[in-house]
This record gives sequence, structure tokens and C-alpha cells, in this order.
Amino acid sequence: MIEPEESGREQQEQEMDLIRRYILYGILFRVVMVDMDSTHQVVLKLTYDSVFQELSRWAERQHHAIRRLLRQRGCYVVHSQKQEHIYVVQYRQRGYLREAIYSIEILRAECQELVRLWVARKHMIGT
Amino acid sequence: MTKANKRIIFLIDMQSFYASIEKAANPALRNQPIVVAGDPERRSGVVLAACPIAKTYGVVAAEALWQAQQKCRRLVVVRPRMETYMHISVQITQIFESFTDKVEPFSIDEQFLDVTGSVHLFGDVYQMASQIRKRVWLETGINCRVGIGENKVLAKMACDNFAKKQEKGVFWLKKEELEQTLWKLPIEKLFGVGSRMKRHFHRMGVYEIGQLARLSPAVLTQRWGVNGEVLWRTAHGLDDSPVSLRAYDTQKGIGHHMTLPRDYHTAAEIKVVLLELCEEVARRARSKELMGSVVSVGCRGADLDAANGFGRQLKLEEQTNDAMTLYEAVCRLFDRHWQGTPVRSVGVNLGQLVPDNVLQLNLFTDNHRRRSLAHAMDGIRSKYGPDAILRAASLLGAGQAKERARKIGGHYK
Repeated sequence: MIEPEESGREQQEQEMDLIRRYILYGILFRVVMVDMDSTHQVVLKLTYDSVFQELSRWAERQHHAIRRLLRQRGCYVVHSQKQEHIYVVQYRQRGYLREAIYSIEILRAECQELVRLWVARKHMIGT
Repeated sequence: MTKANKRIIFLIDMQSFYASIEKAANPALRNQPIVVAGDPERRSGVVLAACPIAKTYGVVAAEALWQAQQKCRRLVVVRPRMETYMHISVQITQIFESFTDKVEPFSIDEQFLDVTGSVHLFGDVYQMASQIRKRVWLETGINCRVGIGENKVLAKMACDNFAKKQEKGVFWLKKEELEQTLWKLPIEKLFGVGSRMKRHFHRMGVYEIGQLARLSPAVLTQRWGVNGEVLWRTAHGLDDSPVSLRAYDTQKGIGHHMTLPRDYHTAAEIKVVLLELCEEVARRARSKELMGSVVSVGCRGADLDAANGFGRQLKLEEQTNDAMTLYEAVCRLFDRHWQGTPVRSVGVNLGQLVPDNVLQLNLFTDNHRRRSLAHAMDGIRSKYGPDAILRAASLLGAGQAKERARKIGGHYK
């Protein structure tokens, strides 16, 4: 049997993880659309908009799914702001205001990992 | 519940700090053995940090890059980015500050936290340590280890000797249990005992920390003065120093040291570097509004073990933060003590610091003019970079100022 305090700590750590994924998907779906606009600035033989849009939609769906999950657990993001080299997120967790300070470089790397995950997933569905 | 008079101090150490940052920033490196090392083309081909995978091949920090590459053929070498590491270190301090207001950075990858007053807000000591580890991992991608003790030395030794060696990365070193824990370790595991001190202790027949702890403090004081007493106190887990950002407020000296890319053989070459160091020391003293009256110079050869260098100091007639005045004194010391041996490492230090808001007037030199010239140069350098104005000597082959401007602490920005 899990002791109540232990499960509370685990729950809190899971929520820290969820907040991070929520932020990552939120950044990803926006960044993909910005990158799509950037490809419009150059002359290409083909258009890749559908790839960008599908990736962005997938990230956005994940973002909203995690947001719903967080709401069910009594967590929601109050404020997020980029400050020089960090990305500061304030969120409310069952009444407590908490803060997460992410390194922008790490967020970028993790978004890149999510793109790789999406490609691998598409590949698996295709085969 | 903790006793009212007992503090709870954490020493949090980042695992392979530079290498972990590089791995977190580049997912392609995550399953590869990597080292962060200087430019192998230049002198700086030394391993600054090795990731845990590289360490399984026997690669260790501070060894030559070529040696590390011999141990591991598929070693990935990443160039250091000191500015990024400093930003992440500050970010980690900010994370710690959400757990306690008493945070003291001990080095770029180690920080002390006094959590006595805030631990009850986060459950117990172990839960708090676990939360801190989780947050640092999620927000920076770095694994950290937590040493816990009732003072700073116990926390430090808990981290270095126990937490780093355990999977869960947390260890509480309790003073009541020192006999069963710390005292069983070899003498070199005691905080403050290096390789030389270890040799001294071995000659005395002291091989374990417990043996040192059982000695009379008078024996140690007689041999090493106050340092001997400090070692005895450390072995008994005694330390009253507070966790405070103000610990380093009182500056005793301003110094710069440089390891050269090759051996310098002539006085003319070495003096170019000495002048550059004097410029840096004087500039830093001015930025802190300080002047010093004791200047010291250190020179060493490539073989750091051989005692073929010197370190001497000189009392100046009046306090200064002027580069040329410093340089003249440094040259006097250098000319007097240099034996003509090749030099690989040089350092200049300015001590006995006082505020620079009082200027000694001199009949023969125009100190006012020198001072305003120096401040004008400082202004240009802070606006356009440290190599915006250089002395002509720095453009000679021996000059290092241009290369040094691209670095922080001797490593690339």
C-alpha cells in the first residue's frame, strides 16, 4: 500500500512533468507555424505546408489534452514569460502558486526530440 | 522534528555539469561518450568534463585530450561554452531560491542551501531533496546529487563521499554516526586534504580519517598551525560558518593567472604577458573601486611538479590600481627572481586592498591624468569588448590578450 504522503509527493512530481510537457507542446505547435511562414519567404519547388500543419495540429492536440488533464488535477498555468536565457512559468497547483524556470536551449532541444518522436510515430503507422 | 539548535544544510552538486548541459542541449549526443575540452590545436586540449558514459571508459576530468581519445576511440569532443554554463548555473540558483532564501554558490556546479527554516514546507528532508533533484532535472536536464549535514563541511563530505556513489543521489551524514561512516574512509577523502597533505599524513602513520580525528588537536596545530586545527574540526564535523551570499563580500586580493600555449624562454616574451595580466588586474581593481599595496608574481615551468618556478611579493610605496605602476613593480620582482628557466604559467596578484576614493598626490607623476586615462580605456572596453583597445606589445607573437578576450576563465565563451 502506498502511504498518502508518498502518493502526494509522487502526484506533485507527475504534475511537474505534465507542466513541462504542456509547455513543450505549446511551444512546438506555435514554432512549427512560424517555421512554415519562414518557408514561404523562399522559392521552393514544392509546398510542405501540409507536413507543417499536421505536425502543428498534433502538437496542439497534445497540448490541449495535457491541459485538460492538468485541470482535472487542479493545476493551471497562470503566466509564462521569456526572460533572456530562461522561460519562466508560474502555475497554480491546488491553490499553491509554483514556478518552473526552464532553460530555453533545453526547451528547443526537447521540441526537436518531439519532432523526432512524431516522425517515428508516423513511420510506425505507415508500416 | 529537528532540534532547534541544529541546522540542515544541503550541498547540491551537478553531475558532469558541462557535459550534461551539452547532452541536454543536443539530443544526438545523449547516448554517446562525450567530453567537454578545449581546442586541441592550442594548448587547451584538456578534458574539462566527461559524461558518465565516457567515465566508464576510464576518461577523467583534467587529463589531456589525446589521452582520453586513446581510452575511448569514439569519444565526441565538444568545445566549452562558458557563458552558457554560467547562465545555467544562475538558473539553478534561481530554482534553489524557490526552496530557501539562503543559497550560497560554492562553485559553478555546487551550491550550499540552508533549508532549516523551510524544510517543513516540503515534507521532510528527503522529500525536499527529491523535489529539488526532480526540478533541476526537468528544468535543466541535469542530474544533481544532494549531500545533507548539519553544517557546510558535513554536507560537502556527504555529497562527495556518499551521495555521488549512490543511485538515489541523496545522503545525510550525521555527526553522531561519523565513527561508522566518515571515519572509516581514507584520509584523502577528508575535505581539505589534497595529495601533498595525504603524503604528510601517511608519513605520520595516519591513513584513515578516524586516526586523524583521534589525534590531539595540539599535535596538528603544532605542525600546520590554524590549518591543522581546521582539519581536526572537519574530521569531527565541526563548522560554524553560515550559508550566506556575503561569504565572499570581503575581497582580499585581485589576481589573474594564465597558462601559456607553449614554453616562453625570453624575458621580453614573458614581460608581454605580465603586462597583459597587470592590465587585467588593474582594470578589475578599478571596476571594484579598490587599490592595492602588495603585488605578487608567480611563474612556473611546464612540469608543475618540479619546483622550478618562483612566487614572490613586494610592498609598493603607495596603493595603486594603475597598470603601469603595477607592471614596473612586477618587472622588478621578475628580474630579481627569474632564473632563466622556461615559463609555462604566470600570475599577478594585487593584495592589501583599500577603497580607491583617496588619491595620494605625487610631485613627480600626474596621477590624476593616469587615472582618467585608465577610466576612459575601461569605458571603451566595457562598451566594445576587452580587445577593443590593446597595447602594441599584445600584437607580438607572445601576446595573449586577443585570444584571452574570447575566453572566460581560460576557456572559450
